[in-house]
Amino acid sequence: MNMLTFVSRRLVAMVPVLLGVTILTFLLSHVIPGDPARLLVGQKASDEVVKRMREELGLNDPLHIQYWNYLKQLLRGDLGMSIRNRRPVVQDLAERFPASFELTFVSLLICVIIAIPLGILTAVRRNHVVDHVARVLALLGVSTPVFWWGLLLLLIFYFRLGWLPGPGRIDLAVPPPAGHTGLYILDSLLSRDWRALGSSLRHLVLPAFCLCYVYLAVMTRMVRSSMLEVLNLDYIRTARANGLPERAVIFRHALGNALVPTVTIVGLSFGELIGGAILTETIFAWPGLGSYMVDSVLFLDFPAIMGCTILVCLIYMAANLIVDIAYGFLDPQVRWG
Amino acid sequence: MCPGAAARNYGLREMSPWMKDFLFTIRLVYRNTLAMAGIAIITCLVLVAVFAPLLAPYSPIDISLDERLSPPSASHILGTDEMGRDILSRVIYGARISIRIAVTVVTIGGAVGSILGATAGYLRGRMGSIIMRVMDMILAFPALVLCMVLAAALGPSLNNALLAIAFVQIPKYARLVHSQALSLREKQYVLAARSMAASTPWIIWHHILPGCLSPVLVLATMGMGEAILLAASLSFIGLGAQPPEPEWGAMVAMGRQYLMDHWWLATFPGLAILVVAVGFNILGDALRDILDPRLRR
Repeated sequence: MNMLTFVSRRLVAMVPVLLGVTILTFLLSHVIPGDPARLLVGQKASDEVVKRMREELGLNDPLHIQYWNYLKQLLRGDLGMSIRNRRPVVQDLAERFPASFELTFVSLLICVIIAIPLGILTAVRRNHVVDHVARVLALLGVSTPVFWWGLLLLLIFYFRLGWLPGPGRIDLAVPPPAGHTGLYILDSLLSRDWRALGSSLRHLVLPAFCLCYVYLAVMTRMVRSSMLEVLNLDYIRTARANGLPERAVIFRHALGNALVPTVTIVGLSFGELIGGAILTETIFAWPGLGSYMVDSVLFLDFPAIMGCTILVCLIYMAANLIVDIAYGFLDPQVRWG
Repeated sequence: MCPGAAARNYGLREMSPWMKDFLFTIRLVYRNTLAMAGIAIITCLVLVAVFAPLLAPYSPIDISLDERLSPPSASHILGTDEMGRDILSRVIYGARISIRIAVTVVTIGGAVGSILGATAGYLRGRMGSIIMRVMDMILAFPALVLCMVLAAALGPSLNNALLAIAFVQIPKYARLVHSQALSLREKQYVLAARSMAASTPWIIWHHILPGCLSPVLVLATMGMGEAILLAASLSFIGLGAQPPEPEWGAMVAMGRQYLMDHWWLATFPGLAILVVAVGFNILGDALRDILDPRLRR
C-alpha cells in the first residue's frame, strides 16, 4: 500500500474517534455547574433576559438537537464566543497556537538532540558511571512534578542568579517581531530583527528546558533499551566479526533500527508533553494554548474549554499519525497498512 | 479419611495456578534491591501518614500570623508559610492526603477498568468492541486535559479531582486486562467452567480477573505515582484540594506567590511529591522486570 492510501485510511479512521471526542466534550460542558446563559449575560441580569438568552442559545432544545446544532457549527469552523472576553474562540486559539507550537517544538528538538546521543552512550557503556547517572536522572525525570521543577528553575536562574529572563515570551521593552506566523523566532529571523530574536530566544530557554526534562528522561531510556536490544542481534555480531569499526557498527547498523521503537514512544508520550506544556505555560506566563485552557477552566468559560479540548485532541491525534508515517520511513520492513 | 484431607496435604498442588504465580512473584520481590527500596519509601510514607499527629510538631492548619513566612530555623525546621503555619507539619499531614489519592484513584480506576476489560475480552463480539471503542475515545484525550475538564465540570475539590483522575486511568487497565482476557478465555479451565454451565460473571470473577493480577499490579503501582503527580498538578492549577488542606500540590501553588523571597514555601512540599513518586516508580519498574515473562524462570 502506498503512503497516500495509508494516510487517507487513517484519516477516515480518525472520524469516529473525533466524533466521540465531540460527544464527550459536549456532554461535559452540559454537566458544568451554573447556567451558561446566566454566565453570558452576567449575574445582575433579570430572569427575563436570562430566559431570552436561553432561547437564543437553544438551551431549551432536547439534548440531541443541541448536539446536532453544535456539530454543524463545528464543521463551519465556528467554536462559539468566549464568555470571558466575548471574542470568537477560534480567533483566541489562532492567536495562542503559535506560542505553544514554538515552545513544544523547541523542547522536542532539545530533547532529541540530547536524548539520542545520551541513549547511545548509556547503551554502549552499559553499567558504567554514565549509565547509572543517566538512570538516576531518568527516574527523577518521570517523578518530578513539572510545575515544581519550573518554579525551581525560575527561582534559581531568574530570581537568584539573574542569568535568564523570567515569565513571558519577550522582554516588555522589546516590540514583538513583525510577521505573520506568530512564531517569534521565525518572524524575527525573517524580518532581521536581531534584538527581538535575542530576547525571545532567551525567554525560551527556561520554559523549553522545563518542558523537555520529563520527556528527555523517557526518551533516553527508550533509546538505551532499544539500542541494547539491537546490539545483541546476530547481524551486529556479523558486522563486528567482519572487522567494522565500532563507530560504523553503532551509527550505520544499529542506530537506524534502534530508533523505530523510540519513535513510537515519542508518539505515545506526546500526551504527557501536552500536559507538561499546560503546566509550563502556567508557570512561565507563556501566552499559549495551555495557559488559555487553564484560564478558561478556572473561569468555567465552556465554549473556550470545548474549543481548546477539541483542538488539543486534534493535535494529539495528528502527532500520532505523523509518528505512524515516520515508522514507515524508518523501517523498510514496515509497510504502511 | 475425609476427602478434604488429600487437598490439605498437597495444598500447593491444589492451589490455583495464579496463586502459585503470585507467591512466586512475592519471593522475587523480596530478593530485588530496587523493589525493596521502593517498598521502603512507601512504607515510610504510610508510617508518616498513620503517625502524623505524633510526628508533626505543630498543627497543620492553625494560623499564627506573627510567625508568618519565617525561614527554616530550629523551631520550624522547614520554615512557615504565609499564614505562619509550620511547613514540616503540613508536609507530614499531606502524606495522609497522598495516600488517599493513591488508594482512591487506583481502586476506582483499577476496579472499573479491569472489570470492563475482562468483560470486553471474555465476551468479545459487539459488546466487547463497544467497550473498547469507548476506551479508545477516552485515550484520545491527553490525560491532564481530560482531568482538567472533568474536574472543572464536577467543581473544584479534592474528591472530584480524584474521580476525574480515576476516570482517566480506566482505559489503561481496561486495555491491559482486555488483552490478557482474550488469551485466558481459551484456557482449558475456563472452557471446563463454561461446560459446567458457570455463569459469565462467575467465570470473569473467578478465572479471568485473577489471571490478570500480576500485570494489573505493576500498572497499579506505577499508576499510584502518576495519580499523585496528576492530583498535585490539578491542585496546583486550582482544581484540586482547596486551602487550607495541606495538599502538597496546593502548597506549591501557594508558595509560588512568595517564591522570590521565601523559597521554602514551594520547595519542600514539591520535594515530598518527588520522593513519593520516586518510591512508586522504582517499585513499579522493579515489579515490571520481575513479572516480565521473558526474564522469568
